[in-house]
Amino acid sequence: MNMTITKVCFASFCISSCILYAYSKPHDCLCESVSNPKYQAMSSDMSFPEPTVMDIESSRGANRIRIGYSLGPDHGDGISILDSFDDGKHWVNSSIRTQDAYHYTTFGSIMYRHGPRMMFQRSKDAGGHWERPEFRFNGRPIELERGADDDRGSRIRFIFSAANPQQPTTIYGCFERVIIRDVVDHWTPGLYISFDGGNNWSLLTELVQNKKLEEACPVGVSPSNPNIMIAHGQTSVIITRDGGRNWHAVGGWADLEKPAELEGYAANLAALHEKGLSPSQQWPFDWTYLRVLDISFKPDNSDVAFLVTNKRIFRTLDGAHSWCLLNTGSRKLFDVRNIDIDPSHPDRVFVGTSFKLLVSDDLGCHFRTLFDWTKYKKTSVARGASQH
Amino acid sequence: MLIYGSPLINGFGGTAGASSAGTLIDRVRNQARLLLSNKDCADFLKGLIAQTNGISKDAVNLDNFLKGFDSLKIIPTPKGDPGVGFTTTAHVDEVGQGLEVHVDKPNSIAGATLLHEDFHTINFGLYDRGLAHNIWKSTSGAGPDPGRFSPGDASSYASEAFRTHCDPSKK
Repeated sequence: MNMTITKVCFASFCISSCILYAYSKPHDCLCESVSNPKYQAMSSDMSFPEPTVMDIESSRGANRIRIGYSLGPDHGDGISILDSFDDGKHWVNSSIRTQDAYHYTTFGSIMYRHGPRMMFQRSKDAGGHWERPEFRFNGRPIELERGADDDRGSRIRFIFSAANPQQPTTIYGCFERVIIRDVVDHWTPGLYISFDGGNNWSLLTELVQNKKLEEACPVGVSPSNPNIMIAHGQTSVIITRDGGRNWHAVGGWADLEKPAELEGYAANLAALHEKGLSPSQQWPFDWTYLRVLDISFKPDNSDVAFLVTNKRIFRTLDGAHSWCLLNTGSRKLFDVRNIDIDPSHPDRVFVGTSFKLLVSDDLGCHFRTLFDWTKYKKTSVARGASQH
Repeated sequence: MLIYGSPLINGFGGTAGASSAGTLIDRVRNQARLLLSNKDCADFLKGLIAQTNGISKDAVNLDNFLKGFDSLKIIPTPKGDPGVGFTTTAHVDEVGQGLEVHVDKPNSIAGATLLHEDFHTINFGLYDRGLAHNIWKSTSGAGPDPGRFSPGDASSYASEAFRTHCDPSKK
């Protein structure tokens, strides 16, 4: 059985034992209150290897975990692919890929990606051929941006959000008007839906807009009940239970949105004032407010979902009524980058951070390191292996 | 900040030890101060600060900027500092916290590098995407918003803008 778990890809559904021992032992779970956590600010440069799981192949009791990590700007932003056959104890080089051959979403033979020049593409034959959808709104073609160097006065950008795991030609994404020079415009930004793989689009809600730096247009669709979706609205994290007709704020949304308190900031500010200096900008900085990077549901239970944010991962076990903050080992903002859930073991969660890939077998209550880029780099340099 | 060269400091060459690195940093620091007298650089900084603070360009006083810049502790990257992600010339460990700038490659820094890093300290609290976005808004505003670029590309955009406008070879 070969299961790809890049983002949400549950075409090959597996039977899960689904024993949530985390439920019965909440005191053992390292999941803290969301109300007053303290954070460290991120470093000035945010280009990291960001390891992530690409797929897991299970065959006759043996597992192959395939991961990828960015080689960085000195190597053309290529992606190094590594395999482990012993649950992360050893890693072997597999191949090098380009970015566009790496970031894709798979549902059996149907795949979506932002390809060369960030152009959105789809494939109906598992990546054999890629094509651009027709992109029509109310029957009229949408004039999309033509790439990063497109400097026309106004253009529309599309950002892919998610697909319905049970019906992967139903996809969601944000359209936004990018105004380069003054133009008169009546385009409505928001979250749109297409039922035919991207040819025809209609507005689903204006509550979700791609306006915050560091945040694309995150939407999570429950694989077990695709009518349930979570997104980040303009003022709160929101949920729909009827396929997007009605949305409302999740429980505890105000705590989720609160700007992250920075450890030691008050003392640093006081020291600055003692020198007779005043900062140009003071906390709360815009990057301390909630930024949602990714949203994932547990494949077999729509009550369980994860928000990957600049403030680490928030988890709900009760259908978004309450949340707790998972302990991923670092209090740095923007340290957590991605999440994947093993479709054959739905309690197994992989979390990619700036440098590490973590794995949890109990829905995020406890993590261990599966891959550590800093250690891997040292050992591969020591043995003279080429990483790229 | 991604690496770029500077004609002023290319002549020093070699691998700097701790004290020679300190001397190099002091020279480049002084170069950065002098750049405030460079019309293009001063205009660029005023525009960026105005955009960041939401005030008019005329209301920006570069003397205040210099006071903040002079309070920075610019040192070679201490041993054990894990640095940031990939190779950098200089970095700030925590954006918006403290006044320390760590120089990873003393032979490669320029005045523009240090001016750039100042915006990551507690003086401004901007990270690379935010900085790139504000530069874009305060200059031409042409082309796509670099605040939406990848972190590496946003950093490159900001570095390039500082390098172009704060070029010591220009008067």
